[in-house]
Amino acid sequence: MTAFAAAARFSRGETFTVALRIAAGDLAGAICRMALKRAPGDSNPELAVLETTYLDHVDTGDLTSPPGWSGTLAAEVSETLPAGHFVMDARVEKLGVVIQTDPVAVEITERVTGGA
Amino acid sequence: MAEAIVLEWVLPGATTAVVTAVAGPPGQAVWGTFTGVLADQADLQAALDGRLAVSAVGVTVQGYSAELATVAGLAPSNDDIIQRKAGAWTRRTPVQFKTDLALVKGDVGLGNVENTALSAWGGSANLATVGTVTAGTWTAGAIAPAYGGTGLTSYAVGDLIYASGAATLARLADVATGNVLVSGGIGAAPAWGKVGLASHVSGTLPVANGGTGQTTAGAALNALLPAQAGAGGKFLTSDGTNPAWGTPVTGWGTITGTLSAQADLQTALDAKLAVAGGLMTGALGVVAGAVGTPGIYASGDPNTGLWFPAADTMAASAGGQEAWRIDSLARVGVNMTTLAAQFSVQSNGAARVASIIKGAGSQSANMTEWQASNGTLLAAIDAGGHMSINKAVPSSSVILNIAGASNERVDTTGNAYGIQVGLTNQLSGNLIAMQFQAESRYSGAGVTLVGVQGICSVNSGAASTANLMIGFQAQSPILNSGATVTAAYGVRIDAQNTTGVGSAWALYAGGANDNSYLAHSLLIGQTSVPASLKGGLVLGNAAAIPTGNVAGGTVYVEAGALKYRGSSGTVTVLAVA
Repeated sequence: MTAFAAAARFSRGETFTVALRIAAGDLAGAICRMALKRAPGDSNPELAVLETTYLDHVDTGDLTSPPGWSGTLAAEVSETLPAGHFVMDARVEKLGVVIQTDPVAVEITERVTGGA
Repeated sequence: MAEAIVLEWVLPGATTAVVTAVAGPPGQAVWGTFTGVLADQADLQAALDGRLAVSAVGVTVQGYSAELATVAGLAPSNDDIIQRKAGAWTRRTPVQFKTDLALVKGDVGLGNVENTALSAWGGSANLATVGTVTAGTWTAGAIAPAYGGTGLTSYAVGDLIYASGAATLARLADVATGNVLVSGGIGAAPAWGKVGLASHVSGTLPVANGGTGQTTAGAALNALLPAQAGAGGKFLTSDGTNPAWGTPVTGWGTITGTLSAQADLQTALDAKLAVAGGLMTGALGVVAGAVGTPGIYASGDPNTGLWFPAADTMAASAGGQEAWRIDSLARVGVNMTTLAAQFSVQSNGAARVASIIKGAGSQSANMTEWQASNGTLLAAIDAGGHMSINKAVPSSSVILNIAGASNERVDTTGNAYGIQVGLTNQLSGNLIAMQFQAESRYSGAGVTLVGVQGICSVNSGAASTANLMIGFQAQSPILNSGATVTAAYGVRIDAQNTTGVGSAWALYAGGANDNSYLAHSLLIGQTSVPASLKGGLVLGNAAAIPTGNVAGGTVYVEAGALKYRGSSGTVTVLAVA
């Protein structure tokens, strides 16, 4: 079993929000893409792609927080996902240089309320 | 993105779940996490030590410059000179450079010119004689003092030249007339200025030259005056030609003209008071003086006059003794220096009357009056010697008239007195408030009461049992005459001189007009009368029963019974109670 640096969990039908903050370096103008898959190296298409937005301050309530991106999986999208264990990473590209983050584990649990 | 990039995940459920994505330049290895200090990385430290610090650029290291790059690309030939020309660096040959310099002869110093062969130089033939210039005009600069010149090139009229230094001369500008050249001292420049008589002149000017030939004031004056010998006390005068000593005369000289012509003297005299008949037009101030030396006195009598003992106080002395004085409160004292009343008089001799008030020959007004502040008469004595007291007008028919308003005759205890005579603190002697004494003790009356009623209560109110019409009480001694008292009577009632008198009563009580039972009854030891009694004798119980005997007998009332005690002590009841 692959060990991941961190893990996140959310329920189906729940809005899932993560953030990727730029602790060092200049990534202003870079393009960030976040996606979910079954496992690293899975050749199947990405299960879901998070909608990313660049923020001058990752924590919008803290003007001293570093810049970064927020990644959001809308509730209607997470509704379509199956429960189970997945991985997620981010791909950042600036001026042809690509940085791939380490994957983090994501567990999607079955919901109780509002289940179809 | 040559620098290190660090990305961190922020996941829900975790405050900051860190997943680091570190990226270096593409295709290069990525540094891991450094631990320790830089000195521990010997190779890195050595690599760093081999490089210049960035801070050295601009200080010890010339940074990149396009100008320097241009210079470096010129590729000059030997002897070429790099020259800035037309705003750009270029290389120039020495010839080109010399041309550019455009040198003139003035740019070449004498030291750079060969002159050892001047005598052979063709131009020297223009000099008529070497070392002697006989013609021509010197057009070079001023010749320095070291070469016999002044180093100066211009002057103003009146300027003087003086040495201002070891090898320099200077101009001393001219100044206003009347000034002389004064040395500034050794090593200092001279200057124009005035001659200081005290500091710049020495010697003594003799008389023949307008001086005195002397160095002291006295000697100088004597040198000009006539000889002093034998001239003591004389004054300097003139004989019309020369000064001479004159002998003063005693007293005024002859004054001609009139006094009025001497205006100042006349004015001075006018300011003085004439001794006889002079009239002061202003205040006259004199010395305060003293009791024996008054400030104002008559000629020849300096101890009699007016003087001023203190501020606001005036006094008069007679024969050196104070006669009277008046102070600031308008208090006048005659022969008194302490003024406690408005007018005080003290006799200065036992046999001298202190005060006399004397009327005119036909004095009609009162001799003297006492008045209240509003002028109301309080007491007076008229010219006939009649005296009134308490607001009464003196009357020729009353020697002493004491009157007043009814409310002024009642004292604080409610008693009323026309005259009240009392003794206060009489510790010794006879307690006699008032004494009437006849000239002859037995042949004349001390007090004679004449009238229908000799002594009469005039109390108009209701009769009071406490009121006494008259009371007599014998005390011993009655009189203070020193004579032997052979008998004493509280009241002695005699009917004397009754010859030819129709009726004579030794004691009479009652009267035709009396309508009071009490009024015309005689009460002894009793203060009330029985009902309906009129004209009776009322006896009260004796306050103490007699125990002794008298030559006659004693009648008294005991417990309501009328008793008689005879000379032998026998008591007889005259009437039972």
